[in-house]
Amino acid sequence: MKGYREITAGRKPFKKAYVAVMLWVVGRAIQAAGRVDKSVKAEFDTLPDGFSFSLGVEPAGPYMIVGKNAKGYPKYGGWKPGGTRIDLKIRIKNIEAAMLLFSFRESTAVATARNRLIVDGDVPSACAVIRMLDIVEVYLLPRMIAKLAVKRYPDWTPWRKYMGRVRIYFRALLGY
Amino acid sequence: MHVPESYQFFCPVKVNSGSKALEQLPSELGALGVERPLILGRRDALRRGALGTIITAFKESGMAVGLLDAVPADFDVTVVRQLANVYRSKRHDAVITVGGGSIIDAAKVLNLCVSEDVEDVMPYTREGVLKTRLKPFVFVPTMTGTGYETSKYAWMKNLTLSSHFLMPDLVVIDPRMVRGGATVEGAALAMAALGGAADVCMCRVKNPLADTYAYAAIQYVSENMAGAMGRARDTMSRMAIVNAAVMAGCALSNVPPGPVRRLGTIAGDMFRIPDGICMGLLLPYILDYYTVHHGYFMADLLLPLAGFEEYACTAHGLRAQRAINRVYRIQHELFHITGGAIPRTLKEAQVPRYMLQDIAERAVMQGVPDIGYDECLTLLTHAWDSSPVAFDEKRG
Amino acid sequence: MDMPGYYEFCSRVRIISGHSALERIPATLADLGAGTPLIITDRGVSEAGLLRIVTNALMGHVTIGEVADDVPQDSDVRIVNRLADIYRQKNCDAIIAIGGGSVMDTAKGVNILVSEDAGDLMQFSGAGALTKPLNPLVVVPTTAGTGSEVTLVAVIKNHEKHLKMTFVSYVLLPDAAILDSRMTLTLPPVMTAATAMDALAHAVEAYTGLAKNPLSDSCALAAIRLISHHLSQVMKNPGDKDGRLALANGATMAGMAFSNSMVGIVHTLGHAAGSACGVPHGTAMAILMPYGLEYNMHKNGHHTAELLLPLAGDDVYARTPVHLRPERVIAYIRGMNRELHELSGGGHARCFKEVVSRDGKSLVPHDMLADIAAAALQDGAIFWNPEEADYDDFMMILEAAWEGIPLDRTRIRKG
Repeated sequence: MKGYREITAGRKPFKKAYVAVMLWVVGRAIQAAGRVDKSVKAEFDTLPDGFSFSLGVEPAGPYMIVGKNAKGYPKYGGWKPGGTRIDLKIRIKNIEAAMLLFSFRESTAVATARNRLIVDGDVPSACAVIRMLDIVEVYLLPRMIAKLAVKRYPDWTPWRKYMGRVRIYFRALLGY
Repeated sequence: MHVPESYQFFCPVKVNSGSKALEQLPSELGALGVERPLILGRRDALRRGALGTIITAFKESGMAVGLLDAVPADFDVTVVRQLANVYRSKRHDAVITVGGGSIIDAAKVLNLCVSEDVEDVMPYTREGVLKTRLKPFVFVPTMTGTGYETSKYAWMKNLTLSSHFLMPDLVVIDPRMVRGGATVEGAALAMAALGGAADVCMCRVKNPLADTYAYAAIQYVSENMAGAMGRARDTMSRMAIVNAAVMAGCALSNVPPGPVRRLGTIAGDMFRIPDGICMGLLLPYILDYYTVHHGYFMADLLLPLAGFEEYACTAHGLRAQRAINRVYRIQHELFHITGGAIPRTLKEAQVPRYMLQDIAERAVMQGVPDIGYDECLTLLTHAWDSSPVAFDEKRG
Repeated sequence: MDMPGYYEFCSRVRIISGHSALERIPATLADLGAGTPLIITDRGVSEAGLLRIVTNALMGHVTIGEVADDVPQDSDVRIVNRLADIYRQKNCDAIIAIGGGSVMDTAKGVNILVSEDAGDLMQFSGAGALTKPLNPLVVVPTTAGTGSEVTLVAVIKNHEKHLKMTFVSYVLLPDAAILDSRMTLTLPPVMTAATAMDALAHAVEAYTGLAKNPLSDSCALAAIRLISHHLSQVMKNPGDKDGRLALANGATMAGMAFSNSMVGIVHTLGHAAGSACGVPHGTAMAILMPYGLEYNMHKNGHHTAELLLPLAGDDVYARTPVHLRPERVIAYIRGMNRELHELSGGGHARCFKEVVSRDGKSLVPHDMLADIAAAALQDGAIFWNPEEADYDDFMMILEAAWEGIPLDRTRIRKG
């Protein structure tokens, strides 16, 4: 029939790259925060031994994987799920939803309410992971932006917030 | 609130509405088991770039889509056959229709043909023949439409098909798709939504679930008409109007046609006026007439039309009239916003007075609830010259 | 009515309502291409005579494959597996589920196994695992109610492995829900009160939560109006058929609402009270509803205010100043609880310390509140709550709810 054509819609490389960088930062920050912040460590302690979770974009990434190491601390596991067993997958439905999340136009709570995410796995673990993500966002972001990302901005002492921020950034960049 | 002795309700339509709704489409299609959707549109009827926006939404999805953007407005069985050939030969497994009007009728008939593997749809003109769900069918609305897009009806030439399985599985309402478009078309859609929804609420056999959809539609139109059609053409208001049309289409699929739909469609067909404009034009006169002469009590309509505050503060016995006055006000507002493009009476719509008899005759033949020819003519006369449905006409 | 930034709404279940709705089941099954149903229900339903009413309505029109009336109060994967075997052995082609939430969850689980021709439910748990339409499923609620007849979720417990499997998919929605007044006519007063308040909580949380949308709002308002107008009358006159049908409709509409806009802190704590102390779900909802509204008031008070119209009527709404409406709603719900307490002869608890087991033992000793708060941290419903809540917040609410005193809103940490 006249006018028919088949189209393979292309890619969004820049948005994908931006989200990949953000996921890398978040993954490394969780690893760092596990050693810097007691609350993050306490949440991580509720997760079973050998637990791992991923946060990524459907259908083909980018991803971020974090696992629980033998000593019970979070360990950044890279950006390729590969053959690793993942206990909890937080799947963002598409790259635009990921952009809304990582440009803070939608908080995690709003993104969940708007069905932009699929949480695949144990619900109690998902609750712990989301709480950890919220704490990490407060460390990573200036107050004005963090308030867009979390439901309730916590009332921390300046020491905890600023010292913690410096230590987490330092550890995240260096990867330990 | 009264629950009737018995009723049924079915709405298979999923609604996704809001920012980046189109980008959720690939994952929704995946959940429906779709791998190769076919997009149908009429490029000449869509805003420039509209189809491009939809294609872009598939980026990173890995999906290949087919696109047919020259579907004729006036279609027949030959066109459907051609579409079906494309669908089958290119191994598509879902239809996505962009924009309202006749194209969605074509899409519904196409989906029926490819799902049931038939060419002749005549047997399906009887309701109840279709028993199984069809292949996935998605609708992406714009500000152009008849208000029947999400309904169970499809029209092709002189055939009317009716089945809940014809309704779309998914409606994706995206702000980028509601921009642009002529004001008259948008107004017609809004009035179709309002008229259709009010018609549902007038049904003698109440359907509480159809009413919930209808009330939401009425509220959205009432609150957003000015914003959507006025100079600002506010996007969120336009989204609300499109939402209202979607909801009205779902609601009216669950109740038999009432006077608004019957008379609106007849007048629209006879004088080539969009059905929605006719429905909106006739609505307050029909409400008024049925309230005064047939004891219809439309008090509850005031709630979605005017909001909680006005509803609660209005004495029970005055609510129906207040609701009707609200509808008149919407009509007048629309008339002024559009610089007179949207008629408020049949006279302004350039319907000759002597033709009112023909409308009344046809209405009686097709069956308008509760009124015969004389009453129908009286009602139409009120709608022609805007004469008030006088208190002294009220029966004892 | 606000236009949400983004929302989704789907309620794909055919609703058949009436005083003789059961008699439409054969035609409904025929339309679905089925005629040999497996009936799944529980002992309570069969002993109350409700099963016989349904089978009488089916007699001569369908061939009942088998009747299984041993579904336990808590869904169990072993029962699901056994029932799936029976379905296959008897060559059934549909399921009719008659009962409350647990029966419906079990039926949904059985339907997964028989439709996917599988033996292990685990592989289908989580989101996205189920995409194919399932075999016909018709549900007949016998409470008013859980709303499970219109939800896309099923929860099945594996008691051996201490696991809870959650299944989420639109394909889990039943094909039809039959709302027949005969099914709740003999529901005892305490159950009537509890299930109605459960339905009310669904509607209230759907209307005031983060994912509210126009269609769920419309359903929620209609539900609240029906429940509020009819509950007291039905408690006084249990044989009120019209009232029972109204409550059943209210429960289903509330189910449609919350299925699409989810719930919040009331359910977070309610689920936890159920899992930690065995508090019946409806009872927990009734007790916690006012506290949830108090806790969230600084975030969603303007929505709570609107509930006064369907709850208390236009007169009360008009006479109450706008800024006092949220408090009036909360007071109204507390008033409902007090009235239900009296009408049920003390059976309906107004606070947690009044919740007792059948043999009069307190189900919620004060020292269990910490366990409830800890359990609440593991419940996902809080994601949709407008305000954040941690262990301390949960304890604050639970203390007040235990005692039956209003929440001290000055202690709420506001986000």
